Amino acid sequence: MSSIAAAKKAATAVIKNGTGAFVQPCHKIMINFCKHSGSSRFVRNYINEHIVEFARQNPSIVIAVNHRPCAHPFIRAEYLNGSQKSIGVKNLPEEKVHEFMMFLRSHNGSPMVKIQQPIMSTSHNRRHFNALL
Amino acid sequence: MIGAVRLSARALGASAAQLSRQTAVAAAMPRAHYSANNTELPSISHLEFDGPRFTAQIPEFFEARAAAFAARIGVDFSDKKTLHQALIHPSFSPGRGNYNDRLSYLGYSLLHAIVTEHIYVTYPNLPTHAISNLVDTHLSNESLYHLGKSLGLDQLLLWKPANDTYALIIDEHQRLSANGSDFVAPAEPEPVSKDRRRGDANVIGRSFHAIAGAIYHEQGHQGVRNFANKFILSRVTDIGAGISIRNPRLVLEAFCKKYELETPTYQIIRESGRASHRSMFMVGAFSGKRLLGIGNARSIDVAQIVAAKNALRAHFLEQVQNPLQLELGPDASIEEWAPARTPASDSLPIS
Repeated sequence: MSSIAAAKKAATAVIKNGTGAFVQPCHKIMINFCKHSGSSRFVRNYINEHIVEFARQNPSIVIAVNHRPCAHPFIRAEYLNGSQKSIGVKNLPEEKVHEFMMFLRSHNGSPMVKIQQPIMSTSHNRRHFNALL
Repeated sequence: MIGAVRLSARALGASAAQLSRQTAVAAAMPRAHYSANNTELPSISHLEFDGPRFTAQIPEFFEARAAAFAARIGVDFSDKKTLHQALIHPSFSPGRGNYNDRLSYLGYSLLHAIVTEHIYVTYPNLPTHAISNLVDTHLSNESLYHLGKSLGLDQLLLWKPANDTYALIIDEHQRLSANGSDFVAPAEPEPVSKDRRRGDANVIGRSFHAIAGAIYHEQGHQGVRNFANKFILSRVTDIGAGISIRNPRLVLEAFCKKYELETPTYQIIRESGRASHRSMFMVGAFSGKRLLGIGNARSIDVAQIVAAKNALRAHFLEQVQNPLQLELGPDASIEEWAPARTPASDSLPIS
């Protein structure tokens, strides 16, 4: 491999969301509910009164509302990194449903990681430190 | 234009019939330049859905997903069919309509022109191979694949991977073998990885160009420029990684001759542990009394090479502060060439 080809291989463009443009990681939210059962009654109210406003405020998210009879309601969000996240909302009031909608909308889609080390560093280890370097 | 034609025709002594024919030709010529405010584009022939067999293949929520994608890239498409056409790859249903290949070619040329112009103007000293490497870093299919994925293009695009073509070949094989043919099916191609399909870097990269072409139809050249600034040029790139310098000491000497500076000399600035196994030298490349670059290494020879490399790098990566105000001209100031700032650390591998 020539040195120019090696240099070409070394160069990469790293995407940092938020520099230049911010892209909402959530791209689809699906609400499953039942038209008749009691556990979906607040979700039905939320869909009737607030879902259009939510969709208007978030144009980059596809909203899908599905009637699933005889089942408890839940919200499922899909993210650009391929993951998805679901939250059950049976018997929950409208404020709580809205809270979960906002949570799923704002979520990154990456799995929750417990931070074990109190200090994180991106630089090299200090063991081979040389004062001149 | 027409007046010029008429004048030259009179000067040649042309007849009235010739004159009128020439003016007619000049009037019928298309305008060579499209201005940003008064863009006149030929209308594109949109995808015509070819019967229920074609429409049955289009997944549900396609139009909603396309609208969400348009909101994500911040472009309001007045004609949504232009966007839909940019999202349909020729492999989707071959020979059944107009796909994104024309838009893709347009977007390819536009994006390359815009990115090359940006690099050329921002880094006036960058060598040609580094410009080429940097343009490829921004616009290679692999790079645009990752960008398209971060925008959700891979979940939206309509295309068929090569593995599906293999399934068609196997079907054909079974049909022929039932008829007693000796057709031998090829071996099944391996997928690239678990979550990647064959050819997706090419398909998504080219379709990303098609998005730029669709934006050109909607917003003109300035729209594509804003799009490139927002999504392509805003990514973090190590520009120095694309530079390759062979024999840096010779090249630095040649550059000093070119800019009429004194021949570079190398002096040890600091050192530690000369006789030990873990020696370290800090060497500076000087032109007269002017420090051009500093190199740190375990031997003096390598430290000189690194110092020359850093001096050349600092020269190549000299950045124009405000590229928009730059007036390109041959009288680039030589006095400003000497790199006053020293690199914080040398990231070069010492071998």
